[in-house]
Amino acid sequence: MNTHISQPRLRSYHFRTSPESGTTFASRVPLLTPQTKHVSHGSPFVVEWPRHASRNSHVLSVCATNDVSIETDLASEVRADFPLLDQEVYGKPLVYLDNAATSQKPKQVLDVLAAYYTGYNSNVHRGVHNLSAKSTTAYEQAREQVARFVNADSWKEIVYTRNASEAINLVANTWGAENIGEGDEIVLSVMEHHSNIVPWQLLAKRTGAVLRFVGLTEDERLDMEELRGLVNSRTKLISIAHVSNTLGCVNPVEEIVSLAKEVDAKVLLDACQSVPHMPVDVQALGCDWLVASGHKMCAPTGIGFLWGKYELLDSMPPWMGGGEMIADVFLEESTYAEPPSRFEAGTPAIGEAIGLGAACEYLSAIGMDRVYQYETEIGEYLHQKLSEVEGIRIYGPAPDSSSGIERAALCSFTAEGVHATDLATILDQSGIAIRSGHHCTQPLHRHLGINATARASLYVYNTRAEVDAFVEGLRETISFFKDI
Amino acid sequence: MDSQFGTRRASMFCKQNNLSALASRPLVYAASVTREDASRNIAFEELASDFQDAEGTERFKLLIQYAKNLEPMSDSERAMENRIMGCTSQVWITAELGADGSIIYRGDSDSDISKGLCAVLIKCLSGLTPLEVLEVPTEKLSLFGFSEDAATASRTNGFYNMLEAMKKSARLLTPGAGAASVFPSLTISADAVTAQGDFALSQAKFLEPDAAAVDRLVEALSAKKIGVVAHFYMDPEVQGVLSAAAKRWPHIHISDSLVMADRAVGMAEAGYVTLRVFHRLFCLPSLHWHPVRLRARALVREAASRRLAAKALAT
Repeated sequence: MNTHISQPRLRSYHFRTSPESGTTFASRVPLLTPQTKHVSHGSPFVVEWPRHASRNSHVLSVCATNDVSIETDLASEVRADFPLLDQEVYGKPLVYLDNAATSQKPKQVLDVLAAYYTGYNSNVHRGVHNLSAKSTTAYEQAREQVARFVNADSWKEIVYTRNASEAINLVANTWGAENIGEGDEIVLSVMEHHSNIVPWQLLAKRTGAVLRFVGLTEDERLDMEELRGLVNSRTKLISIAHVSNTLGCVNPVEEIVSLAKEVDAKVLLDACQSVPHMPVDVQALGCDWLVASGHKMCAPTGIGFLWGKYELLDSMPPWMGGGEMIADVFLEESTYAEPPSRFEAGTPAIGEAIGLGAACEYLSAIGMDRVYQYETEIGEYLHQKLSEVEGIRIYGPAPDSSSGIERAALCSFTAEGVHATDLATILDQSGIAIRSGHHCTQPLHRHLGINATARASLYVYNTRAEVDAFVEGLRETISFFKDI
Repeated sequence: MDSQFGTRRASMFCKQNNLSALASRPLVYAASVTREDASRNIAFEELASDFQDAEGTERFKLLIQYAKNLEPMSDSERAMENRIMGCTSQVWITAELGADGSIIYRGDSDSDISKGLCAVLIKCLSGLTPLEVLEVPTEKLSLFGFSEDAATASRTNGFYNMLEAMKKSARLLTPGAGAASVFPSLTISADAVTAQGDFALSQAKFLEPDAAAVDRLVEALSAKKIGVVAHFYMDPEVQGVLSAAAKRWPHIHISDSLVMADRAVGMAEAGYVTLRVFHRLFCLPSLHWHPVRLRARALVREAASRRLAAKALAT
């Protein structure tokens, strides 16, 4: 196949060490290459090292417990980086607990986005002028940052998409269209987000494939025994969430991958709720594809990515056709570029991609291990406090470190006698933002026999004090409805 | 008019045209309910003033009190065809026409706040005529102060969607919207032609056009020796008059475009100097009509010049 790679090759490295977390990683500075003659050193587009607020710069109300560990300070440390959080809603301080829907963005990412649009906005891969070279370099640098973030083998394995939904549709319409036939089986689960169900339904309708759904155990985790029973020689694909956005359970990816390997099936991992919150290593996980959305991980909306093993991406035909993804275009036919360009038709969300790279750097500077540790603690705190409220039923497994049951820092729940939407509406009056509805998991809600749940979901900047405020507000809301 | 056949067809019509409310419910004339019985509708402004005086959560308390006073629906009424889409909770609304021509709305929801919003709308709209309901501007929703975008058309704006659904029901209950209840048809027997359904009724009256108009047409056509070719898809009013006139003036032909072309050529050859063509623009046959029309025009000119020549010879 003819190849056409127009990205400039980046050669030199600077190694930087985070003063906060001690993590060391490489940041590349572009050198002059034949394609990028016009790039100058010290250009404004090189990502500056993210600076965190000092530990004392932003202190919220006193924590309810005396159990203050180093990790508990993480939210206080980073909070000042997120300007949006500092506001009032109906005269009360905003308590933003809807991070599973979308995350807030740190100044560092916002500045990078603004710097792009004010300083060097220019179309990528197409021009030889100075601005175009700068934007191309920053855009491809961001791709490398994303690749590092998930420990991909190379930047070529990262395909920029609009979001995870688009990434899943990409796989369904390329690899799926060519490899899934009548009678072939695709294994999903009842907890999947609609974006990891509907593309496969559409594919199954077109090809005559069969969809199989794994159910839940009694403690509302993925039923691995049922999965083992469902996987057979006709299984071509297992597409599964890493972390459920409603149940909060963490699925055993390595085990699922080894099951799939026994029957030569592929595994696609929906990592929307895991990549932002814990270290994700595609080499260790062993899946074939991974999808994630930028807006859930401190990056702008309109950007996400598909990671895939290079040989696999190379075997996939194009999906969207147009500029950028071609090598040569004649009137009757064209030849296509190598991955990832092959799957990136048209002008991409350049500034947003650069923002995604900056978000990866921001989170790496904190250290994903540290993020994970903090979220585990505050997630447990949320679950514990919420369980103490009378009449509340939380869905998903209770976190239990002794038996290795992990849980994300989110809780979907119902309250006796009060509709989830009513809860959310009254909580909103106190400045507390949670979500209500089915959270794009209608099959899961039907499986659990409920119409709607309310959901509080946390991120690195949420403090224990906010969890307390939420629980207190919830108690008041329930009384509000009882007293009427 | 409310035959079972008609109601079933009406529900298909509603379903096909995405009219979810009332899709399978016959229009009910609740003879026992008068305008006085149905709760008098309250003006939006009057009801909203209570809410405007309340602050913060008090507003919602008031709303929930309205919800508590709303009569709950039966399980059969809480069915899919009565559901209002676009609410994060489940909301059902039904509408009936009272004997005095005003609408009686009922509603329910699994969420107290949505039920309250339903109750507010019912208080303001029940007792109005369908036409009055249709005239209610969506801006009225903002009077209550529940949210900044209460009047915004959005997939998830429950309050707005409830009002829209109630307006849709009002549209169906508007007098003359009975077309939705009976499938239009013409029954032709040896003795008579019977029409049912508004559309059929309006078409059938052209079978007996205005006699004076027909007389005038026949006079004009015969005086000026004009032939007429007209297409089946012409307005029924025009066809009615032409068909009646054709009984007295033989050079009127109503047909498809192929036959129209043939007749036109025939008339031209018979010496008719003027041809009037009544044709629908959407008919593709204009593609093959055009050369025929050119030929007809050529024949007419030829005939005219032959007559002139004959005249010249005679003198």
